[in-house]
Amino acid sequence: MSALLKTPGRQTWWRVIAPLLAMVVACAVVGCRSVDRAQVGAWREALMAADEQSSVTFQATNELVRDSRREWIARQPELLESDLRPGSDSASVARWQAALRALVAYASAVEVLLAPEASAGVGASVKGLSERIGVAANTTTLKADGALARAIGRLGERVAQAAANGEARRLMLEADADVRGVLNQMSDMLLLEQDDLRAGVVPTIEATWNTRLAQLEEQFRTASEGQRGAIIDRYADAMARRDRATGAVLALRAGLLNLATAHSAAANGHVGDIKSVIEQMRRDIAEGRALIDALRAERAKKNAGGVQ
Amino acid sequence: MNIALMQTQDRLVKTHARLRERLRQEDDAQVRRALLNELTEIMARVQMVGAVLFAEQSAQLDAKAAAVKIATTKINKAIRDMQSMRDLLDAISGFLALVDEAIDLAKLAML
Repeated sequence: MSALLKTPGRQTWWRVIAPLLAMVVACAVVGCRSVDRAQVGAWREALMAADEQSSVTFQATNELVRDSRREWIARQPELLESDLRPGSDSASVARWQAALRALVAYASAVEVLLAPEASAGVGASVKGLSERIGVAANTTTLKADGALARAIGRLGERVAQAAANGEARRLMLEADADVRGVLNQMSDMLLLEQDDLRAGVVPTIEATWNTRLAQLEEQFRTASEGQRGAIIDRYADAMARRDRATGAVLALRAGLLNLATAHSAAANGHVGDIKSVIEQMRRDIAEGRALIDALRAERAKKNAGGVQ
Repeated sequence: MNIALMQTQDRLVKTHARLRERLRQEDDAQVRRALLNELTEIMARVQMVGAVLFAEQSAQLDAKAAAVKIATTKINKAIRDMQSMRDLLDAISGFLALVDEAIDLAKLAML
């Protein structure tokens, strides 16, 4: 080996490969924690599912609020636009979606940084350079042995990969507080629970459905025995729909909090179970759509029977 | 966070729950009708305060999302830096190739 290093041409060759080897060996000895690109990809997919789930949830909430206001508006002296203001107005929902899309763009950028094609490109350039150094230094080892130049290229690729991964991890850790800040704010908008205080979208849904239940309780009191059966059915249905509606919002909230935790885990090189989060979100979206359909069917039924 | 607005919504919801309980215990039909109307009034206000709260929180969300956009810019710079490294390596290879050609020409001239 020492004889090999003494040859002037081979010394040049060694100077090319030594720093690359040092980085790879250091990584192997110390144990580099790396960001899993697939994990970042799954996190991005979950964000996209949350975007879809949010649209469905806000739509269902707005339709519920709109329907519940009819009786209240009917008692007002005049009809005003503000009386029909939705629970989540379009400008606010647009901001919500923009925040989710900012997170998707962020995840996509991390994926690009971790893409093997980028480090493969650097590897090819390192291979080209090592071949050229071999020619310049008149080193027969590099000129004649294409396999060695290719190996140096692969080494360069690994170093580039490690550098990209290290950078991705550093940037993800740096952004972690901001990413969590956005997701936690979204969760608080749906339901903030602080000691005895509860505020947000969930209490609005609960108060709306509880008013409907109180109206049915009153109808039951004054109804004949023959009419009561139908009221009981409507009451049970309203209870179930209240629980489904609040359940849908709470599921979205849980999904957002899971995404915050998953970001920290991915930045720290831990692999979490993001796939199950996405599958749960898909089920919640289907549930939300069913809620909207039920609300629309009820409205159509009411309209067919005359405006109240 | 607008705590005052949150507390207002929370108080309205709690009043709504108390009124509903009171309604269950009331025997007078006229009082019950009045209580039911009050319940609807409170519900409408819970919804209105909730809507204002949501709009206000979404503005705060906008500011927080701006920090994520800055993080994305930093990642995009890292991607560009990697491309620059590749460009630099290719440029050095190209330069060495040119030098090699010049050396070969010089060698030929010496023959």
